[in-house]
Amino acid sequence: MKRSAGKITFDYLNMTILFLISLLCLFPYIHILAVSLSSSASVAEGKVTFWPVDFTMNSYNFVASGSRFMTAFGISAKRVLLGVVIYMIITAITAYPLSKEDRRFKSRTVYVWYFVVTMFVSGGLIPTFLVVRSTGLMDSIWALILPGAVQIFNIVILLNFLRGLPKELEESSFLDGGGHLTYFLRIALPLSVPCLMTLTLFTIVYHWNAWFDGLIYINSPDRYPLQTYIQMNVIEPGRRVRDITDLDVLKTVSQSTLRAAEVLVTSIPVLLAYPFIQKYFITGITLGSVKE
Amino acid sequence: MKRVAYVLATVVALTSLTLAGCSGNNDNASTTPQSQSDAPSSSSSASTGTVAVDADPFGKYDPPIKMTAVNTLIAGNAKFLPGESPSNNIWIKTYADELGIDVNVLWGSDNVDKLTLMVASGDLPDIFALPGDSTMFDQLVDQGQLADLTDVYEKYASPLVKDLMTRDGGRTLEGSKRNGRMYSIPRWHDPIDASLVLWVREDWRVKLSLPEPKTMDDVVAIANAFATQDPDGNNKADTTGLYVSGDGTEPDGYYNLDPIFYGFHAYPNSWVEDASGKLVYGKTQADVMKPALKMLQDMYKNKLIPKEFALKKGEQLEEDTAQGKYGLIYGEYYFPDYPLRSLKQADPKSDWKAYAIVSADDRQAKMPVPGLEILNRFVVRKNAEHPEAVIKMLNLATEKLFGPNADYAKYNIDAQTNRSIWKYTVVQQLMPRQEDNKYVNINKALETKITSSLTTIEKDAYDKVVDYMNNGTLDNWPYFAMYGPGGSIRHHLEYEKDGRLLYDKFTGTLTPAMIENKDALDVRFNDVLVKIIMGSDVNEYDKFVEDWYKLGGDKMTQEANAWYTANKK
Repeated sequence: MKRSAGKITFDYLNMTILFLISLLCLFPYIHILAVSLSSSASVAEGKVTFWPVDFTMNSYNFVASGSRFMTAFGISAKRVLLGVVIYMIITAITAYPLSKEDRRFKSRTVYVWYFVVTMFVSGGLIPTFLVVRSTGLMDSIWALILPGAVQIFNIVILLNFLRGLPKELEESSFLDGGGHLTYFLRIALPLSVPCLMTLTLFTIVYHWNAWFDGLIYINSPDRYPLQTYIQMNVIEPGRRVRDITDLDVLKTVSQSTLRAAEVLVTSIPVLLAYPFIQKYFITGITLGSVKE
Repeated sequence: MKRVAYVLATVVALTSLTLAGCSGNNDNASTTPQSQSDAPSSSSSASTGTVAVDADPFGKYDPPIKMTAVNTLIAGNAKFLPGESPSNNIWIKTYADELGIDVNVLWGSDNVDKLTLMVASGDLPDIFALPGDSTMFDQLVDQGQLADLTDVYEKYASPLVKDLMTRDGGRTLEGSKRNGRMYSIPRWHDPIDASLVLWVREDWRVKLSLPEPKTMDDVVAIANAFATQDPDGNNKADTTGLYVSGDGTEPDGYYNLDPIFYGFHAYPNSWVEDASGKLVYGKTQADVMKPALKMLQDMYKNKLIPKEFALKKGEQLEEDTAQGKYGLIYGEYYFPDYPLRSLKQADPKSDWKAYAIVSADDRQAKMPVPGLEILNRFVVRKNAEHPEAVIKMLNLATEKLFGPNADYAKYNIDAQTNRSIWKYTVVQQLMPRQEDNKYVNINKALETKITSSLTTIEKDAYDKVVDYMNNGTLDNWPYFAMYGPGGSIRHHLEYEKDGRLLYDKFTGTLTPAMIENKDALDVRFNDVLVKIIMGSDVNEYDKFVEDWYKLGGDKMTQEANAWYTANKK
């Protein structure tokens, strides 16, 4: 089929505009990349836009040798690993029973509400802090993982996905002598892979990006997760300094090359995770949304 | 930023209920404050032994005692050598070696949320520091959670500490007390250090044969010449008159402009007395604010203020300085150290000189400064076993930082690694008027060539000044520009001598209405300031004053006056 000239023009125009828009998204990254590869003097003078000036790998060498950054990177990696495993297990084993019909699981609604209520009403910052402290979690990696381990939002998504599976599958599995465990492990879970992958991605991003809990629950600097470390280092200057001994706060501006390098290195792991999970991503969210 | 924090915290909080009972890794629990605060009780027997020894300000505990601390001097960007941490560094080692005090620093961070949580949870370490203007101090005093340090301070404080604490005649120390009792050790310096001066590119001024700035007209004339007569000689109109650096989203964001208001006898950031003796906020005095605003508006119209000044952020200051784009800026005495240093490095021929602020009429311009400049308050838990140990640590820190045998690089600032080692202390006082003394003593030494009477810190600065004067070492130029002959500090002394310092009348901690509204109203002022400078009707300022009272300013004024009547002497 031959396309009309107008349609072709439209396509090209469309593509150009979309291309420009995606460039806009890319520019900040390119700028940060250029800053991280430039000498700090040229950055201070504002010469760097999209191409490194006085190319140097100093910042990256420093990041690689800077023990605190690498330690924090390791903590965050550990946190993501533990977090994904624990969160996904809890999500799966909670969502499965709650996805059953009322006649099989009588007080199902009560339990669902029990969970859902916590999405709207929380204990608040200070009570949560007190709980974490008195359970002895302070300053350990578990303070970053356990308090948020029951992700109601994720559970609700998986719950709806499971309800969308054909009832016949469950019935035939039971007819063949399988119990709930068999059905759950060998049929329900494998069928839910798209949904599970999506939730995994949510969890990875949640753990990788969280910084506030690291700040309040972790006391030793060598146990800070990466984002807490970054947050504390990337201080916006501009505050008026009255004490000459505090000038070092302002002087950190000239470390902007180092900060750029750290920010880039930080964003790499999630960027790497995306392509592998993306194919499940769209089907994962929408599949759970339509119910019978 | 704060909002993000709360959202995240809520997310964490939301999901925590169901797992509240889980106890995780109990091995790590040994570092929680809970178990720490119990620790000192085991050594309580030592306290009876040491009190008997005497009131030796530097007496060593034997056997050693234990203390817990939280260090809020340590900022997020604080640097440590490998293996060091807030509770393992030269200061902590010195406390243990010289005083027999094992200090366990539970955490070190200047994050206020973290501190607020600790205070709210009621689990206080033996010693910690609050920000100087924090209301948490008054709350803790009212709740009876803090130790009364009056007696231990009297008994144990070393002569040097008492000297430093009363360098202003006891004004700050008295102002920091509650009901006449000392519940905190204030870390303060003299408000005079907050004075501003006018920095002028002296080489440009001489090149264009302009007069020294003595009046507001001179300042405008210099700004005009710098903006239009191509002072840098590159045949491009790329220089600006009066530079403004700032961040309109922060209170105090455009403070570089404040001295213009001072020239018109308006004091936007201070509480001043009106004709009836009541406190009013300087921003509300529209009759004196408006002429200054009008002048700024005219300057902007004549392109004497950077066109896009409202969009600049604080971090652009260094950038624009390094490029030599401007030659006129109001700032603190330390500007040579930051940001002017960057231009001096790039262009050694550039030369800056500090001038006193000027007046728009024949009355001298006053320099408003805060009433008290308390940066932090070190407070001690009510039932701490050894409140006197805190005073001893203060004695030791003061000795190591400012005493005759002070080792600057070891305990204060390590220039080599750019580490502020002083931040690792758990209690300290600054040396008020240190900068003034440096200036006076260095200049005396330059005249007489006698350096024996200089302290370690003064000698260090003296050597750098001399080095710049003889060898022109660029790294040492800031010292010359601050402490050398005619250095910026000179104006602090002159402001004081001429009675031009105007102390803020309100010296209490922030009142509830101030906490709620002050920052927001100050940012609102930035908005109207930018609007008027960029061309809106000056009379819009009346509307701002009206709004200011309506949006909480009324309450703030009431509370400030309530405080004033109760504390006026």
